[in-house]
Amino acid sequence: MPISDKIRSAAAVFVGDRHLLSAYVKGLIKDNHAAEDIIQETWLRLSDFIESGKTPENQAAWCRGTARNLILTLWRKHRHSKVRYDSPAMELLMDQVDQAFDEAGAKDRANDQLQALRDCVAKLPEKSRQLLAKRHVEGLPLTVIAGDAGMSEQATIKSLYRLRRALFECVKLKTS
Amino acid sequence: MRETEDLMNPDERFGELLEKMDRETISEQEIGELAAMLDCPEKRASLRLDWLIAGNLGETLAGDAVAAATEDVRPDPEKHILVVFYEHALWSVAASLILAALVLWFTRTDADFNQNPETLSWTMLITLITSP
Repeated sequence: MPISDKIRSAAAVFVGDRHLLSAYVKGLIKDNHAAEDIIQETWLRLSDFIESGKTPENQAAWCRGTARNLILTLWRKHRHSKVRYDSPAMELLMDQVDQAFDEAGAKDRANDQLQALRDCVAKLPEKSRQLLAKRHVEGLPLTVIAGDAGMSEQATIKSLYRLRRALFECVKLKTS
Repeated sequence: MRETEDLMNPDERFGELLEKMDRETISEQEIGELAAMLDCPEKRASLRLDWLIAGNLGETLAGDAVAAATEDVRPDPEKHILVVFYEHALWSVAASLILAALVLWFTRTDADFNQNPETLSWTMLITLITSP
């Protein structure tokens, strides 16, 4: 198969799996812009890899591995964080997360889950949507969201967690 | 604090840790706690769905806001037809009233013309318009 066809076919798979890669990267780093940069860099590295005449055995796992390395490189630059990027606990967590995504199968029906998510978000009250948007669209830190809402950081975490949980249950119910 | 966490439902604690899952916010001990919780296929499936939701929530919320804004701007088709109909009817009534007022005014002026020939009359106006 010519290289251009291989890249085209890899691009189709990449686009199809993008929401899962996005979930993986954004789950580990909360900065949306940094996450988008990592996803784009992953694609560039994948196309370079294919152009060099190689083909990954499992493209989704290859992309996740590349994204993981890019995340670790990014974390190395932020040494002041509360948790060290190379702590044993962090490495164990990353391994568990990798396993979780390796286990993603057809039964997940990610496209149905995303459609259900749209329906569930539409049902949320405006105030809840604004709170979620501050965290997931604007990417504000918890301390800033808590300050804006006049709540404690712990109460903000609880509110956001409950909203996420409500969405989780709603999506699960709609796709079960 | 630790006591409150101990009293928490394990699912609730898992969700709270997922929300805190940010190296700037979560502690090393909590990372370890989360990793231990993930040593179970069910919890790993939950993490996957939770991250799929969180990872795509931004786009969904942004799309929702655009849809809401478009909804505000886009006219309701039924309402739009009614507005056009009423506007049309309003203009027709207004035009009829103006025409009727003009006819009345010229008719009266025409009648007055016999007494006061300097007044612009209906027939005079037609003569003025049609004359070369």
